[in-house]
Amino acid sequence: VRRRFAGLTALSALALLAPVALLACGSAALAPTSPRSPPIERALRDVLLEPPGDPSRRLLAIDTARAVIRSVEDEEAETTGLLAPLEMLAIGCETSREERCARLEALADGEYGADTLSRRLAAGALERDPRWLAARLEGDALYSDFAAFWNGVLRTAFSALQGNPIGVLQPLVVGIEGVVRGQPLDPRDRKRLTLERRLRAEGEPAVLDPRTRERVAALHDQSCREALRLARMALERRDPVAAAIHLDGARAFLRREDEVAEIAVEIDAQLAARREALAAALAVEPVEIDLDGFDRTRVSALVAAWLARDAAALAAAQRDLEAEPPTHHAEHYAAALASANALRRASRLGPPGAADLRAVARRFADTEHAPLAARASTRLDARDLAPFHAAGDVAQQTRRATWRFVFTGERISGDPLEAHADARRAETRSWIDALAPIFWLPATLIRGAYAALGEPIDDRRRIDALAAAVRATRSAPGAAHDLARREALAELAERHERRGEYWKARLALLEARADRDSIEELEAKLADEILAEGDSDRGGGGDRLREARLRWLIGALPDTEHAARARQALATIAASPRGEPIALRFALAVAPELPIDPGWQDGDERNGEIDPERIELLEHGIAFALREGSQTRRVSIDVASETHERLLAAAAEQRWRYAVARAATYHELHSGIPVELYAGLGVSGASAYPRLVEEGYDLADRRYYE
Amino acid sequence: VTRARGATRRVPRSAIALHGAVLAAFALPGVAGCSAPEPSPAYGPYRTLLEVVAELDATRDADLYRFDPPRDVSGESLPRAVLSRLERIEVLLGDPALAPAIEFARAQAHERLSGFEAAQAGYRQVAAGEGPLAAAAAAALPFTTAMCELTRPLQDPARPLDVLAPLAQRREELTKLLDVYADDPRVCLAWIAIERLDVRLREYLYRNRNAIDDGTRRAVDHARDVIAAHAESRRLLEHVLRLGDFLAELARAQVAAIDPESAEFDATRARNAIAAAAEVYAEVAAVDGAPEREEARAGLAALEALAQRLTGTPP
Repeated sequence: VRRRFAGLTALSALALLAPVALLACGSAALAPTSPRSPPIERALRDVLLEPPGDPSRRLLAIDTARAVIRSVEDEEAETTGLLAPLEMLAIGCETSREERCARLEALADGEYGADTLSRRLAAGALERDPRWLAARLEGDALYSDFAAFWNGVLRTAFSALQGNPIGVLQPLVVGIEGVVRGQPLDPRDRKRLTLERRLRAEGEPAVLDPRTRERVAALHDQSCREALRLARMALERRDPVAAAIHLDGARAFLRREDEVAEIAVEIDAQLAARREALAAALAVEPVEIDLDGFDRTRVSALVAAWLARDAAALAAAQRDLEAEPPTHHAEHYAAALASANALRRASRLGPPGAADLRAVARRFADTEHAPLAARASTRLDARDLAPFHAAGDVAQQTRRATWRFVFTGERISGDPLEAHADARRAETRSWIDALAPIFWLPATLIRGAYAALGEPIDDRRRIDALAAAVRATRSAPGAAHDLARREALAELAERHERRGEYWKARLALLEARADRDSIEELEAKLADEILAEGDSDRGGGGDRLREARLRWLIGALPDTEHAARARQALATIAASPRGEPIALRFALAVAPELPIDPGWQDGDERNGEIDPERIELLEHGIAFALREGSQTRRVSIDVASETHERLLAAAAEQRWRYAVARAATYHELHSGIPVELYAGLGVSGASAYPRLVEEGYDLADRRYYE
Repeated sequence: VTRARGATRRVPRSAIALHGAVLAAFALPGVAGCSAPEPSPAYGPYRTLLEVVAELDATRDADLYRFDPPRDVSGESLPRAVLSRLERIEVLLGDPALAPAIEFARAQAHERLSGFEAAQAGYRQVAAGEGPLAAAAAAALPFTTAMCELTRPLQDPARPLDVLAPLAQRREELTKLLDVYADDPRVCLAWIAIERLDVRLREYLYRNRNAIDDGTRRAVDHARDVIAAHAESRRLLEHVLRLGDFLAELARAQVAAIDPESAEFDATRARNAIAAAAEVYAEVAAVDGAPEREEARAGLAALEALAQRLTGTPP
């Protein structure tokens, strides 16, 4: 259990406040020009009319504009908002990279005003500088090491107060472990390597100070070792192609060339062996089985009858077999096989051949060849049940993986990508692992409890196997696998339901011909899900899909409460606004002539109230909902085309500003010292204390480094 | 419960942020509750124009051939965002004195997007006026005009191979520009134009491979040439990925043309084609920090499934 309320509260509050703040500042940014301060207008115009290629002239113009703005600052409070973009423009003239970053940082820190937009634009410009970002990530790495150490100290102190020896020992062991064995590369490390490559491509290797160069070299070495380890593991799996991929990754670092060469030889050997094996497999010719000594005529007649699906001939052949059992094992085997197949085929043709496969074995139960007959029938039986056996194998693997998790803490789902991740972990094994037994017993107990209460191993593979078995036997229902099929469908429905996949669960139940009550119960859950989706997605733009689902619901569950709610939801969707949304303040800022009664915003519903955040921009005007007591009516106002054009521009600008407000910048994600309240129940007992949060890499491209 | 390193998302969690948020939360009812403010007075559009020009200016000398094009903080392509914002500002501003500034910025943004015709028109318009911007626009014009001429669409050829000569000639002329404007940061745009020509030829050869003698080999060879010629390009991974796509498509075509269950099917040949494509994809899949990596991984997974289809084993 972990509580991290501080940061999350701050983030949520900021997320709530950002649009409000932007709306407040947005109106200023969009206001039409006013001739109230001609000196400032002139100064800004001069700045904008200076060519970008001439920094000295532009800087001169910017300085003049600043002076003019400052001279009228007391009279016009809004002028302060101009300083930030002016500074941004001045930074563009800066030739020194360090100086540019320092000034952008000051801008992002709010030294030129608290305006969110300018600060975010500056933060975005900072992020585009690979050197700045590389330095920050380097700082994060150092800080995270410190935070991990400090948290260990806190945890040890807390456990010592509790008198918990394991809790005291564990942070120490983990701390030593961190020093002794290297950590696998995380997304931040990989991003750092990429930035370093970019800097090198820009021809700036000298900008890295010796300490940073050392750390980058260590990262290269670690990365190379990791790639080599992955290549070796792939070779162990007899997968030379994957090994070659990892080896290419290792080669890029120009290190450990002996090891690289050694693995390359092994890869070539495995690839050659694979080619030879393939060639040998293709060269093999079928060898005729020795069938001397058996009655070819009899077997041929049986097979002919089987192929012709002649029920009468089959019955005759069966009688013949019973009257005079075969003497040669090959004859017997072929006869049993053909007979079993024939009976199975015949069972589909009609009642005359409706016999169970097991009957074949029973017919020969008293003969000396009974084991062979039984094997033949079992094999046929097994062929039908094979998909279910495969699903059973997966279940067994999952059980084994669960036990492995309980006893070792390792989770293996069979996913090859996970195998790679394991290789990365394995790369860093050391003698510290020998200390694991100290924590084994309590950890195993906790994991055992977890396994008993839930499913620590993902059941996706089991679901896939069950679905494959059901699919494989869908077109050939038969007595041999009907039971297994029903059981598989029931389990499939249960697992889908547990995962909240009610639609798939319903299909499985329908196919299993489950009782009506179970299906109705599931449909009710599905209906709840569809209706809830509609609530959460309202205004999110997924109206068409939602409408389709709601319509299905009304058709599938007519005359129910769910259907009534679905009809209501459909009506709401139909009445909901479809035009481009624009906040009233944005609209009034660019079109003050709009006929909006001030009384509509005075909080008194008797004369009508308008939602100031939700005005719709239609094709020729605007529309909004006017609340008058308990009634709400829709008001549409036509506007002049020139006004409409301005409103469209304002709506687009508002959309852009919201997008900027939502964007996460590195600068904001890493402001201040992150502290969290940690509470846990684990191997070291119960604990709760404040601790430092280690910094990760959270920018939008994180997924490309995982 | 021990947290796995890097397993959770980190968000800003600072005491400062918390205090700020709490204070702001108290202030929120005040902000939200008050009626809409009076429309603010002047300077707004000026400020917005300053922002736009400042952002564009900050990336003026970016090497668009070698490095990813700049994006604004919301993730949109910066020149595109600039163009749409300039259009809005023009509507809102209504100050004819700033028309040259807007037109100049627009021409720069168009140029960044290789829209040389629009850029040329913009520079010409500004150059026809007076003031320092006019001189800057006049200085920018020769390169833009040359690029405009050399990036005009070529006519579709009557016969498949007729396109090769004009493409080669155009490439040569663009290559000459590289020397003439070696000191201009915009020379990266000429490199980009050359790369686009090479890509066009690559796609053309591949698309028409059946109509050209030895077409498949030529198409694949040219795809490899593009990779070698543009080893420094920001699109390098894309070029490698495309070669992988070609090889994968050839492997798929073999499987589609001849049923793998039939006697004529050459399993070894199909496997070789799959392995060749997989090797190329693998090269991209091993590179961190690029969306192409995910595409290559998906390509590898698809090839693996194709190979399994050949062997008949269930995935």
